[in-house]
Amino acid sequence: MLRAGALLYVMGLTLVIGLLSSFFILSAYYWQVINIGYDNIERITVNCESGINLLLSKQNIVGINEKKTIDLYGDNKDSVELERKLWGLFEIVTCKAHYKRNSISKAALVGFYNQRDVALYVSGNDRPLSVCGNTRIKGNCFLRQTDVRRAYIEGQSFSGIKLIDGTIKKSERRIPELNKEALNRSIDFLENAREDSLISWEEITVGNNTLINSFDKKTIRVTALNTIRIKNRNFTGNIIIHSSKEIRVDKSAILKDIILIAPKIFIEDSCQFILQAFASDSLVVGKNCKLNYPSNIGILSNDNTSAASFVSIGEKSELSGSAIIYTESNSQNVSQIKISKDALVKGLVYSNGVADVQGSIFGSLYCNGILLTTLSSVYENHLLNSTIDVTKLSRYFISTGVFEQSDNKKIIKWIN
Amino acid sequence: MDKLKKKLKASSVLEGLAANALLAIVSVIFSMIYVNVQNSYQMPNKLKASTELERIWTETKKEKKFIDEIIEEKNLVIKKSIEKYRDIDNIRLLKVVITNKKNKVLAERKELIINEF
Repeated sequence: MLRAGALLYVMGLTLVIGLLSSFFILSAYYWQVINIGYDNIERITVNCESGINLLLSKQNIVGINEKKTIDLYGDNKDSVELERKLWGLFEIVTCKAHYKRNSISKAALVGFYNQRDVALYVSGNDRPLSVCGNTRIKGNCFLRQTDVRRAYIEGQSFSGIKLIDGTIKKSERRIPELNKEALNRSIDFLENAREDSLISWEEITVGNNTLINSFDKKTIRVTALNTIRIKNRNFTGNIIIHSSKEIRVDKSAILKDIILIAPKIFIEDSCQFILQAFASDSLVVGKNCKLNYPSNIGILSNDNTSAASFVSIGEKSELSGSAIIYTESNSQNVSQIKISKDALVKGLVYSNGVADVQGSIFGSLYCNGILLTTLSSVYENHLLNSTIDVTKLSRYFISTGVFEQSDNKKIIKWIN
Repeated sequence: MDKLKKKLKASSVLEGLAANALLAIVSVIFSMIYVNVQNSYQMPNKLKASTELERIWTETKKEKKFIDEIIEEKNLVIKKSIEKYRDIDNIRLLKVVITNKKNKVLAERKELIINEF
């Protein structure tokens, strides 16, 4: 029997073809949506990198401590929000890129790069440098007297072959000035809270032991009028701990990327941190400590009435970064930086007072005089069993803006 | 027999014609959609262009080959250019545009790069 139901079959077939057509249209639509989404994310990622590169260049669009939104390519499509702010002796650059409903942000800790060949720069008095024991100096040296002598002190005479493995040139009366503009900005940053969120230390000790603050948020400044003892606590990121008296840090603490500010700072034995610490009176790093890169410690002051300042790095301790003493000249009070026996600094040491180097510096030392203090005596312009070797400084070492006059900004690490 | 007569009597010719017409219309619409979807989104071409863009971009940055170039390959035209950016000394605008032979833009990327030389 032949049933005359062709239309019904065709209607069924039409439905199937209709569904198939819808499937094609929908799959193409979703493919396009996914593709456009992927393109947009890629676009803002590249724009974000462009923004960071723009901030690393010799631009004058965004000044320090400024935030600006700019149209990257002038087509009203690619806008980025750029920000520069100080973080101790470093700078933080942030870029937020937006496109349609997507946005992405990146932040980096930035320093300055310069190729280094100066191992030692000593100005001040006209006495010649004397080396004894197992002292090794490698790199170019700037000294007041170009003749370096062997000496015999503490029962040890010079045991090496070359007194200095590098060229010797006559130094100026004063060591090279730091970058004044960057220095003043850093001092201002350390002294003024500006827009930071303020929390008192007493309040924070009531809560839990961990405080983590990312760099895309406001800085948290923890303040106290009395001594702050940091023990069994974790402070990470965008945090400044500021005491009007003293800060003591125990090895049980976890400190990463934060800044400590106080007249006196004591980092006790066997600590391992990444931090920047700035005192106005004294800063002591205990024995067996490890302050990893990028860490900066020092005394920065424009106040010429302050007493003699003192920075000490204890025996077998290691600092990767910079140690600085910069105080306004005061002939009565001479600041001193001491690198104890078996201590190692990988980076730069700068003192506009004197330096007592009994350990090693893989990098450069700039000072107004060398003062060796032993149990029995004090020796002027003597080095005993110390190493200063600029060739051992990592070629990837990026220092702070206060040392450099160059525009060669580099990323130290991504922080967001 | 009566029943059979009644069914055969049904408008089968008209129904057949309508069915044929409907099938023809649906087939035409389906073909049009298929061809349009394939052509308008240029899926294979766009995918190919994106892959090429990624390759050229990685190669340029890895080899630091920041020069103007026009490369023609696989039905694609790749235009790479380096331009000055806002009169800033040490930064350049790197631009790569990939078009098909009909000059339709399939993929494009711009980035500011630091000039380290």
